[in-house]
Formats: sequence, structure tokens, C-alpha cells
Amino acid sequence: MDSTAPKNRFTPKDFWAWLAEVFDNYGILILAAILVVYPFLFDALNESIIWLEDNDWEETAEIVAEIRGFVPSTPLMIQILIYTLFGIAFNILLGNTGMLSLGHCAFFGVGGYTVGIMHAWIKPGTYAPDWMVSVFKVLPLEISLITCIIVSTFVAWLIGTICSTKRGVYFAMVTLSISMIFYYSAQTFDDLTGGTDGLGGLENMRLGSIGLRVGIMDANITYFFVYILSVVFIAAIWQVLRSPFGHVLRAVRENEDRARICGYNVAKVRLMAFTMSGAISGVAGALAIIYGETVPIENIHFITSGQIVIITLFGGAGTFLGPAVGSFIYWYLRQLMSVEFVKYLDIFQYWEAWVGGIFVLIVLFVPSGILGTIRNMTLEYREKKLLTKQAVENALAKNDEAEAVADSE
Amino acid sequence: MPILETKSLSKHFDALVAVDSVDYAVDSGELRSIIGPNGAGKTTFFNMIAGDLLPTSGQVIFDGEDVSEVPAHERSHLGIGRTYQITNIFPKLSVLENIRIAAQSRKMTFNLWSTVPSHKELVEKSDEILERINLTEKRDELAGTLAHGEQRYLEIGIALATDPKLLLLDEPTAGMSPEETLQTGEFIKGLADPLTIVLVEHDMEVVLGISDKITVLHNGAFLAEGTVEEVRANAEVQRVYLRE
Repeated sequence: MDSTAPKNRFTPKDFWAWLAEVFDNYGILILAAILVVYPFLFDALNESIIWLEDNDWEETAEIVAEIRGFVPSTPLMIQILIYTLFGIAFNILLGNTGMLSLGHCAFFGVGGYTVGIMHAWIKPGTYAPDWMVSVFKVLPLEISLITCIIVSTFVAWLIGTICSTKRGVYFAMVTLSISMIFYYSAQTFDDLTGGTDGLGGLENMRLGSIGLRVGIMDANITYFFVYILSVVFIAAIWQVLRSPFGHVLRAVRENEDRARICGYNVAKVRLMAFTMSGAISGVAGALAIIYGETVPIENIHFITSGQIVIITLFGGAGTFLGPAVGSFIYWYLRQLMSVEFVKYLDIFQYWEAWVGGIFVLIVLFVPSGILGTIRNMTLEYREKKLLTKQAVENALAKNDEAEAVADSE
Repeated sequence: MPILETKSLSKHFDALVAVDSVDYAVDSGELRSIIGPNGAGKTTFFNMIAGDLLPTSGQVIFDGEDVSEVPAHERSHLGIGRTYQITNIFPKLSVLENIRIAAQSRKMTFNLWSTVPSHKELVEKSDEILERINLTEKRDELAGTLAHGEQRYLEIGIALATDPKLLLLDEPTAGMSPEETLQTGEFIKGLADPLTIVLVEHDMEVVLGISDKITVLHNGAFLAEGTVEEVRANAEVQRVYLRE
């Protein structure tokens, strides 16, 4: 009798299911907690190598240095964070509203150029009017960031009014074409934007309120600056997606006609989603130029739009943190291949081809992305377990009944 | 005063005349049916009332207001709710969410700073509607996994959640078993008054059983109108429709 009783064994599968559930619920907090100490961990790794060398542990130091090559550096983490923010903003459209925009490089680029142009041109000895230069002895980053938010919101709203009435492939094509207009404008007005060389000379990016210099001089400070802004905006997106408006977005994604007959102004909802997504992508674009202190023209090129689509699909467009996972994988793989693997095999210098191949595999075999697939598996597993549990309980109840009958006889 | 009125309402698709100058009026609280052979223009007529299609000519007057050019989502807010011939729900959202989305449209669209469960009246209303359409136990299931009949009820629930004054039901019993069809007929009858209902239906048993008045369309044009007995007795109706 006892042998048939259900045992509450905790199998490894249960553990993974539990882990996935925890990640589903508290993933944002967990990631935020790990990332807030990341630069310190990386510094500690660096210092340990120096310490080992100082103490005549040359061989160990070499091994640790070799390992360090496989640990994402702080600058790489800055890039990962920025593309996480960009991807999550992009996913307001792709994953939640069901709109595939191929023109998000326009916002990313416009955000970057707004901040870049202000810092490159508002200083003595340039075209900027004297009063402007004298108002800001050094242009504070707060001002340029706020301007960037205003500009990219406006640009997103403008492009949105043009193309958010389009659907599917037409929407993708219109956004793509409009973003190319932005790219060629950036190329043409090279006096202002630096053209194909990129816009340099941004060495004076300083947070006016606390007098902190951010940029290539100090990766850690830049990291925390990017971290705080990313967390604030990601948290804002998270709230929006769980708000009543977020539910409307998913309703529009699932069945636009039904949403309209339910009384929602679908065009307006799509425009609002587009504007939000574009505005926050602009912020990501502004953050992306800060560490490098230049605005490369690639930021406004279609290739950036392609990148963000890949990143989002890697991680899973149906999940909130999918773009975070995708961003990490994309940039980490890129770094590994082009810096570490290439030492052993020349062929890894063509990292784009490898990443592209992996992308094809992911789309073919796990179309809901890495995080999406993990979530689906967990849900399936939990459901199966629930059914088994019910079946066992039913069987036991029957058994008890039979025994009771036997006893009474 | 009629709650819904159409004045010589027409819809042309190029050369095809789908609805031909139909005058129609429904009083508040009535349960009306529109019947007619396939292609009679019933669904097109519905689409023009609900706003899915704009009329070629003529007027739709709802609650004393000319709504002929008003977009569909605004007509929903004026109080026109509808269901479709082919089930039109949010298949990948849960049953509860299907209802909640519809109920929420009366209160807010661009509310970014709260969460849905914090709106008590929304939760209560969804619960109440789930109770009415008898899907409380399946509230957390995906709408797409429900049985066909349940999905039909869910769609009526979605329409009810938008607090309509006028409910347009396009073949609500399509694809249902005979028992389900009868049940649904009773259910619809229970909804009428104060709700005004216009029904397009193929199942004559349902139509004859519950309608206050029946309108017959034929080739897009008005053919006859009257109580069940009157329509039954109408020779022309028998010729084109009831004969079969």
C-alpha cells in the first residue's frame, strides 16, 4: 500500500522548472542585482591577476588571464545593457503589439546624433551661437539627454503617424524605407554628422548635477550611468506592459478587428506603442555613443535594425526578458569569436556568418527563442505533473473506497 | 422612438448590389430576426450597422444620431455590440482576459500606471459575465482551446461586456448541435429587453421560437416584415425562402 503512495521527490527536472519559474517572476530583480555588482567582480578578476603576478604565481596568473578572455568585460557589458534596453523597447512592438519594425535604427541613430551633435557643436570655436556656448560652459549631459528624449519622441510620433496604419509586410517595408532616408541624410549632411567617418570630438560629456565625467576614461562610471538609466526605462516598460494599456496592446496583436469592435481606437493604440518604443530606442541610442564618445554612422544604418531583430528573436519575442538574453548571447558570441576563437581558427574572424548560422538554427528549431522555449517547456512540464498528480489522487481515492467496501463486508 | 433605423441603406461592391436601399427600424427592447437565403446581404447589412463597412448610400441612425460615417470603435462606445458569423475572439488570450479586454474598453485605453486587477469594478464585471455565459470554470484556459459552442458563447460574452444597447448576433448558433442550438435560443431570449437584439439566423426553429418580429431580405432588398405568423403566411416569403 505504501509503495503506491505518491512521493514528493524533488527531481532535477523539478529544480529546473522551479528555477525557470523564479526567473519568470523575479528575473528582472535577479538580473539587476547581478549586474549592479558586475564591474566590481570584473575588477576583482583583473586585480587577482596582478596580485598573482606580483606574488610569483606566474603560471596561475596566465591561466586566470586566459579565463578572463572568456569573461565579458565591463565595456562589453555596457554594450549588452544598451542593446537590452533597445531590444525591450523594440519588443513593445514586435512581441506585444505584433508589429515588425525594420526601421528602429532611425530612432537609435537619431537619439545618438542628437546627443552627439549637441556635445560636438555646442562649444567654443564652432558654429554654435555665442550665447549658447556661454550659457553652458560645458554642456551637461542631462540637457542633451532630455533633448534627445524630446527629439526621438517627436521623430517616432512623426514616423508613427505615417506608417502605423500599415500592416505586416507593408509596415516593415515603410519603416525600413523611412529609416534609410535618415541614413542617407546623416551621410549627406556630413558637416554636421561627420558622415561616414562618424561624429567625433565628444570628449566633454559630464553630468552637470554631480560633476561626473562619463565616457571612455572610466568604464565603471559609464557602466553605472548606463545601468541606472537602462533599469529605469526597462522598469517603466515593464509597468506599461502590465498596465491596462499593455493588455490592449496584446489584444491588438491577437485580433485587431475584434479589438476595434470592442471599442478600441486601434490606429491610436498602435501609434502610441510605436512612439513609446521609438522614444526609448532613442535613449538607448544616446547611451550607445557615450562610452565610445563617437557616433558611428552604422548606428543609423539598417544593420542596426537587423541586429535588434536578431537579438529579440534570439531571446524570444514573446517574453519580457528575451531581448536581455538575446543581447547577451549576440554580443558575447561576437566577442568570443572575433577575439578568442580566432586565435585558434582563422575562420572565426567571419563572426557574422557564424552568428547568422546560429540565428537560422534558432528560427528553424526553437522559433519562440531561448527564453520563450524554456518557458513553454516549464509550462508543459507543470501541466503534465498536475495531471499525473490528479490521476494518482483519483486512483488512491478509488483504492480507499474499495478497501472501505471490503472492510464493511 | 426606434433605437436603430436605416434609411434607404445601400452597399455596392462594384457592380454587385449587396444591400439595396433597405429601410429598417427596431424599437428599444425588441428581439428581431433577419432571415434570407445565402447572399441576401444580411451580413453586409450588419457590417454597415456596426461600422465594419461604410454604406455606399443611405443612413444608419442609432439612438437618434446619424452614425453612417462614424468609425466602428466609436459605434461600440455609442452602444452597438456585435458577434460574427465566423467566431471572432482573441484565441491566444485566456477566457477571462477576452472578457476583461472588452469590459476595459468602457473605462480606459491609455492607462499606463495601474494594473488590471486593481480595478475592482472591472474584475467584478468580468466575473459576472463569465457567470452569465457559464464559463467561470474555464476562465484561465486559452480561448482558442474551448469547444466550438463555448467559443460562440464567449463571443457573445465579449459583446455583452461592452455594455451594448443594441446587440447584433450574426448566426450565433452556426455549427452548434441541435440541443445546443435550442439552449442558445433560450439564452438569447433571456438577454433581450432591456437589451435590443437583432439576430441573423439560419436555424428556423430558433428564429420562429424567439423573435418578436422577423424581417426577410432577398437579393439585398427588403422582402417582408412582420410577426412570426405574418411572415409564415406571406406568399412571397414562402416562395423564396421557407419553401426549401
